Amino acid sequence: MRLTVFLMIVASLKVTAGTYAQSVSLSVKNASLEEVFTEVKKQTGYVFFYEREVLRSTKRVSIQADNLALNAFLSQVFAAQPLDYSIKDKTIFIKRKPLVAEIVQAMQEITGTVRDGDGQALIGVTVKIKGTNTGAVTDAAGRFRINAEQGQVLVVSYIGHETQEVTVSGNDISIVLQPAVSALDETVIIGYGSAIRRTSTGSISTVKSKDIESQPVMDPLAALQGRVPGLVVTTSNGMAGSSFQVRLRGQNSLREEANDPLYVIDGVPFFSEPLNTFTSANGNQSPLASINPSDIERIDILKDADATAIYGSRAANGVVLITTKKGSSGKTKFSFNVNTGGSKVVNMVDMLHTSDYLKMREEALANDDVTPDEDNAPDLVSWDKNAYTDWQKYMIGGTSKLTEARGSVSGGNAQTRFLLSGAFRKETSVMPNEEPFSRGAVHLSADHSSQDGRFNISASVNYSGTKDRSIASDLTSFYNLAPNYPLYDADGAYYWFGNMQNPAAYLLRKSTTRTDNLMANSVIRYTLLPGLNIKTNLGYTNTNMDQVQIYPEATFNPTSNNVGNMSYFGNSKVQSYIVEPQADYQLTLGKGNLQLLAGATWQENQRNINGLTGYGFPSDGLLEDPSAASEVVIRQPAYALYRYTSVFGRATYNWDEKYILNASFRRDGSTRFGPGKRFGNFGAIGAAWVFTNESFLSPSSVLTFGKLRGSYGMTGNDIIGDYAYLESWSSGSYPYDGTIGLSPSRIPNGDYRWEENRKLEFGLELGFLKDRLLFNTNFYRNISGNQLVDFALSPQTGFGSVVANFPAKVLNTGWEFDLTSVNIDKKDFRWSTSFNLSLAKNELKEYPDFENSTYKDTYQVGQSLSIVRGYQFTGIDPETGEATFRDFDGNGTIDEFVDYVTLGETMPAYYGGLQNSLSYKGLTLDFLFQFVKQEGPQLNYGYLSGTYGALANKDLSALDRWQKKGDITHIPKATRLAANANYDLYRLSSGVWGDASFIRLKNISLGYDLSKYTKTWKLSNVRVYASAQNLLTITSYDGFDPETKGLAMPPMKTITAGLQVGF
Amino acid sequence: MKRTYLPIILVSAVLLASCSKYVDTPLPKNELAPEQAFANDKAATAAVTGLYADMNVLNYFYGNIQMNYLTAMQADDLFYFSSFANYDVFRNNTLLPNSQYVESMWRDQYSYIYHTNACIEGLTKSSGVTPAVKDQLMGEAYFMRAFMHFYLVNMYGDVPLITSTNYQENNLKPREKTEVVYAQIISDLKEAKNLMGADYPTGARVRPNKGAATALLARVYLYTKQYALAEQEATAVLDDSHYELLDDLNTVFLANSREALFQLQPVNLGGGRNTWEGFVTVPSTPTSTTLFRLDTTHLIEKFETGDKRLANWTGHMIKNGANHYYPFKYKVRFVAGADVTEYSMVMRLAEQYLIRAEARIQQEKLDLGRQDLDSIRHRAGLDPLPVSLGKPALLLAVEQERKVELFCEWGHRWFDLKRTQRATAVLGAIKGVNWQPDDTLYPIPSEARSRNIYLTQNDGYN
Repeated sequence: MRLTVFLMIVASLKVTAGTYAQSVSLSVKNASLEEVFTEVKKQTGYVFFYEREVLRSTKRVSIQADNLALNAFLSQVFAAQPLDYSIKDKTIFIKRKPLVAEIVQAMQEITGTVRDGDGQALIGVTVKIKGTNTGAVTDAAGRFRINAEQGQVLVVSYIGHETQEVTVSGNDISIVLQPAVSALDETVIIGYGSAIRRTSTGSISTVKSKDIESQPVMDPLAALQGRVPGLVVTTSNGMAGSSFQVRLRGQNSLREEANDPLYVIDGVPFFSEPLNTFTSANGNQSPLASINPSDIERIDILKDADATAIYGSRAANGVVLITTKKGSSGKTKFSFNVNTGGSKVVNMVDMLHTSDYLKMREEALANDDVTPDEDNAPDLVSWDKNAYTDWQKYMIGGTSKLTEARGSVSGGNAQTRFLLSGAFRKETSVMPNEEPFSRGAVHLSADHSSQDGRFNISASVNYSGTKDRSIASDLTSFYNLAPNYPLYDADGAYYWFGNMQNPAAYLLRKSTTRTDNLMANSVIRYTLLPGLNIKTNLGYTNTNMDQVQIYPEATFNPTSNNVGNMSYFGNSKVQSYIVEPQADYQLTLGKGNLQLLAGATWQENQRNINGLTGYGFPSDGLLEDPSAASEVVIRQPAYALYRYTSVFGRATYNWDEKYILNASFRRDGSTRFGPGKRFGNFGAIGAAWVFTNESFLSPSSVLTFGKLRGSYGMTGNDIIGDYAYLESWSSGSYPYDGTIGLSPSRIPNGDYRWEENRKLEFGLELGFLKDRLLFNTNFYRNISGNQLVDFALSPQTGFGSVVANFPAKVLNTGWEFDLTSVNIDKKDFRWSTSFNLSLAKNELKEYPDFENSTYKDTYQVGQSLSIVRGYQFTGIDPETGEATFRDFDGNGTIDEFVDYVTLGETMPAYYGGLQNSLSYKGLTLDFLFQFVKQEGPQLNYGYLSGTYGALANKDLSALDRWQKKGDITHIPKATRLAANANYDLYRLSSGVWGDASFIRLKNISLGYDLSKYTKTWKLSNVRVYASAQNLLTITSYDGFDPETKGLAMPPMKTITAGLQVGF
Repeated sequence: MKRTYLPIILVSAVLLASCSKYVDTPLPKNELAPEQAFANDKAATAAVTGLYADMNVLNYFYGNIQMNYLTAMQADDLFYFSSFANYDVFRNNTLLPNSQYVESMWRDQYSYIYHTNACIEGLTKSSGVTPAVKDQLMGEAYFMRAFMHFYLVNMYGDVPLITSTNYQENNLKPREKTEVVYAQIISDLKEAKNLMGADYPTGARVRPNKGAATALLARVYLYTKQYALAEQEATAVLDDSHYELLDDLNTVFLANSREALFQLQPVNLGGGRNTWEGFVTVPSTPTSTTLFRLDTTHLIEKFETGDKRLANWTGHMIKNGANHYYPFKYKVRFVAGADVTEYSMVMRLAEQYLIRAEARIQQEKLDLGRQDLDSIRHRAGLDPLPVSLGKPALLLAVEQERKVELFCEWGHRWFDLKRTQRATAVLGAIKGVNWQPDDTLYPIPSEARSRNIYLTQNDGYN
């Protein structure tokens, strides 16, 4: 009620301000046209232009319009009149309809209007006479003209809407198309356009806001885990804001860092490289952590050549299209959502207790024939032998608190819509200082169409600010501190030994990272002719990261490295703009529909990274003020201007909804390549056959949809960094003999060019039981050639590498299965399941002269790029307790590389997810299991792993160590020698490599709709919910976590509960 | 319909034409084209001095711990207080082809060689640099190229000889015979000596000059047993009025000391550091544990009674009843905000006396040789050597004098034991089972060998 009053006030304010609405509210019975005209003029300011005599023999008008768009209103008024009208500027011209000649045949021109449920004219709707080749397309006002006989059936189809059949009766038909309900008739977002899943030729997966919002995650990438076939999203570290590794259909490039997909947000490419000038506890901050997941409407993942080739040189690793939410017309809606919860790490490793630890140490010293003294064994000599600290509990054992609040308001009318939303989220850490990561985000979206629908403008602005208060690095690596290590000495001061870092002192090394991210974009469209649109996409982004990391004096070990205090400062800034003019045209051609698109791109991306290090501050309290430093060193700045230009085009021909052919092309130029090598051509062709639309396959009751599709094409990869072709000198950071010196920047190579990725795909999509059961299978085979590598050089050349193309070929093949099923669909109870499974294989297919190449020790031809090589562990010698290894060349010594075997692959063999959604009355339950079958390094793998018996604790595997002659075991004897060659080999061997598969309850969320109890309070939507992430993990992995592997903060298990209110 | 296509086609054509220009980007604002780097005296000087700054930016860089302390650990001077794998392999002479510093010393020195070659090539092409400056800079580049090759050849034995920046040419170059490398070193040093002036370009002794080139040439002749030439070059340096032995041992390692032939100016001061050498060895408080300790038996006890070098160049503390000695040639560890008073000594005059002494003794000029030794002994407060000493005894006296004079400086002790074939005799007794005769050479790093199949491995390594 109060809302209505508010709106009325707004409406009257509009009138008094002298502006007019473009909609009409009028309720009359049997009024003359002139009376109606007067009222319209009063309400809208539009004047009518006509000769008085045309009004003769017109019918009187009865109409009830409540805030109806002018165009819609007029078409109703004129529907039964022998008059035509047209609108120019603010004048409505009226003239008599041409008299229809009495035509002998019954064929006559039928006109009609197609609108959507909101009364908005739909442009570009295909109207065809069933069983003929005759067709038409609606114009900017949603109108069409077609020659048809009375009684013929018109088939009206439009993207994202249910196809409707209308029998011709009368000569002016008003058609309302309803949005599609079958999953097959949903729109999918593709590059520079949209398509309908039913007839799309490309391979595209979609994750929608419902599934994104239900997960209490910080980063939208985390919401994709387990949901998309072909996509592996791996967190690097469990802390808020940490980065993710994203691999779509495997590793294409030999360069690990050049395998990220292209992210495009609302049509604007997103700069997804980390901006950090130095890392803090969460490593490099994920750039996508700046995006608030609840502002996202949908994420479409483009996979095959057909879908990606329009993005040309950046599409080799797939494209992730993120579309933000937009307003919807109708009643103004308010929505609020708050939730709160907590997180703990999913797992900790069981370590030796002090007594077992000290026993191992004594044994190690005895084995080494060394007498313990305070230098080599303080834990045995000087420290309290009864003390015990569970360091993991101390370092990462806390509970992180999470709070999130969001609010939005949206509304609009047929012509103008808007959405404004804001969100704030704060998440503390599980480390002892509990410093929080917080994010505020604002999202504004607005769009407007002119009255005749020919002009449309939409704009969206996203702003977010994040602040990560943390410490200098992840504390997880302190997990193996000796259990009786004293944090403080007898005087209560920090205790220091040797060159060891005291972890309590380390906590004072605070780090603050602030990020501001502004993304704005606008699309301006004008319809020149029916079916022909021109539009321009404009985008601007500005991302700024400020970092400060302080190192107070007390945090340094005074015995080894007392340098006073110091601070790091860093600032990175990325600004980019993009302009993309486009034209698209749609026409009916024969029995089919042809869509054409052409466009061009200019994109500029400028990156500035500056950093300085300050030393010698008078007080630790001034460490965040660089001007207080007694010495400031400016670190090597980074600067890059990246420009990118292209022309692109696409043609899609859909023959009778049965045969669809799609061809796309792009010519790209990029500054990442040297002169003469900057331009490249990319393209793809895709085809689909909807065989269930063939007449010979009469719609059976079981198989309701079947489509076979295939595509082939070439995309590229330009992730190689900037300027690598340039011969140049850069300045150093420190003055020498009075001037700052210069050094050669790199070994230049002006000859390299795009990496080429050829993608082949076949897909079979089936729908059963009225499409309640949808089954989708893809097979792909992608070959990446012309590999752009940091070609490792012999160090005698002066540099470690040079950027160059190499004729190596990497093959990725795989199968993807995707099943969605509505198991039960009753009035009160609905249960649906979706399941996806991906099998992937990666292979270094060809590598000319591999044996003499720089990769001969890293890769193997015929094996995956993700292999890890090492020694083959053959057990512990029962006599000596030393690890033994297979000596391949039989020369009596175990040699690096020569005696290596492939330990395994880090890339998963198969992976997927299983989701169930249940709703009973107001109660909803969703849960997703993620599963990954893979291998990986175990806890004691790698150079950071110390011997059993070094001055560092070990996990419980130490209990199985060799202790005396004759012991049969798989764990080496205790020794304290860090350089023990035998352990050097062991920690890189198959003895510490193994299974890292897991099944994880990725998300479970439970909601209850309270609306029916709250109706009396005018609250249209009240919902309480609880959600949990990573609640349960089933794995046999022996380290912290099989996803993060190694010594990184394990992922968090998070439980939140919240309330959502809307009115 | 046709009319609407035309503008689109026209616009597209214009777009296409403007595209290629759009992706012609200027140089990044923090980089210079090679022509600019050698366009004038100032830029060209910066291009050369950039190398010296690179050599000692961080404590584990070439010009610091690596060349001074790790080589001292390989010999019998120094050890690290506790077990640290990267250092242990030097102390125990158990280097592996993938030991961190075995790889980084190779890598770093070749990257400096690239820098010198880039300077030589840039200067050769340049026309904007005044001839006098060009000669000096060219001389510095030749000197540094010779310097790096000298250390490479003494650490690794036969090594690839790199005299250009062309990576395609250099990438798979095999190891060159030591004699060939030395021939290039000598030729570069002669060139450097001719090109450079006797004065330091800015007065500060932080860039090589004619004196430094002559001094290194003297050392190279000594190492290659060309004693007459060694004596001749050393004499030229000793006669140069720019240099003198300083009586006060505590002033030898000061910035621009008159004993210095070539010093590295500390950079990256961290708010109060001087040299990295001083920073890592001088204890932070008189009682705090020292990390690098001098070997009591094999160095400290080898000083003769009354040797002022023991009192002035080594530090001493008693901790838990044990004597700890540490290098104290550099006195400054860290004084917040203080000025820099010490520079890293790369080459100094005392060595020239010792070179000439040895060269003369080898040429049977025993008296003259002994007198040179006595010059050094005199400064250290020691009595002259007995005139009765014969050649073998004098040569041992040279070895002893070099040991106590040059300990913990640029690998002298290690190289002396190697070049006189005394390593096994001396170190074998100290290091026990760890010592193998072929430990005198470093292994060729596995990184280098994995990328260049033509690099053979030294004996005793895999």
